[in-house]
Amino acid sequence: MNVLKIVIYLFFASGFSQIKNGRIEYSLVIDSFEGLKNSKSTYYKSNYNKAIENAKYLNFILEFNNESSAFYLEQGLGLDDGGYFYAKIHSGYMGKVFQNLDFTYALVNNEIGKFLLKRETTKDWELINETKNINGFLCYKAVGEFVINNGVGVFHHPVIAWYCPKIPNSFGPNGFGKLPGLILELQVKNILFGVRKVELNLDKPYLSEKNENVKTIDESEINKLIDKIDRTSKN
Amino acid sequence: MKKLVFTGLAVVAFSGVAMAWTREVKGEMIDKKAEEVVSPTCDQEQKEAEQDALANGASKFEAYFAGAAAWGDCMKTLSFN
Repeated sequence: MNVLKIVIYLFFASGFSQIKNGRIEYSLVIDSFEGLKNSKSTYYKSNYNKAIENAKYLNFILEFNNESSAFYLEQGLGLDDGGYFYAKIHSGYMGKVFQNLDFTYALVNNEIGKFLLKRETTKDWELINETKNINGFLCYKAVGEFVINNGVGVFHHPVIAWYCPKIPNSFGPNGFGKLPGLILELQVKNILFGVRKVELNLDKPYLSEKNENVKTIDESEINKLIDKIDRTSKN
Repeated sequence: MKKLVFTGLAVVAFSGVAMAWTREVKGEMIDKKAEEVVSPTCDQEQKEAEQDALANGASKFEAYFAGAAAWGDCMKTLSFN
């Protein structure tokens, strides 16, 4: 599979290495899932349904160059403020995501604190011999898992990515990437990021950002912070 | 007769003051009871929403905000009622 990755990358990169930067707009679709109906909390069910209704109003942007990318939510409005917020939360988006060839970080800036959260997304992709045309680009399928260990259990959420070797940058929505092409469509369990618009080789390309004054933490540290806030608010 | 009238007026005046004071105390007691009822109910809603999110494979981050949203909606509902 690693050989296949290299062959695909070289085949397309040799012809299309002139793509130096770009800007992709993604739409969001949140589907219902098995387990929502059986949830105990009526507020959770109601708010998740509002997230489903309002997902279409969220617009995500991925800007990239050959070294790094930034993925963020464009400010907008939903049917109501609550629905827009619920869609944002349940999309899995935690804050602006910075990727380079080695690391992925989300800039968390809310009541939990302000941090650069080092994220682990899918590491081991399986490349599938399936293609589809997305926005005029030939894309290939890859499948993987997104593992969440939340203290209640360890969950292996299925991931399907459609990457396009014609855009030889290994980035994608919400910190996913490390494929031999840009991810134009990504599904994580019941959450789907689909491409709306592709702009390449912009006159004003994305410039890599540095967040030097922000502390970096990992997932286990942010989970401890959340547990601490939960305990404090209940005392 | 004058004494009787005066006594009657004094009784009425005294009773009025006493009732006003009682009403004020009752008002305080009612408010305190309302706070005790609302907070545990919405805390429970928060906990249930968080647990539901976690049981369905959400991250702690997502579950925390799902719980916070449930608490906020619960407080809004109860304040309207």
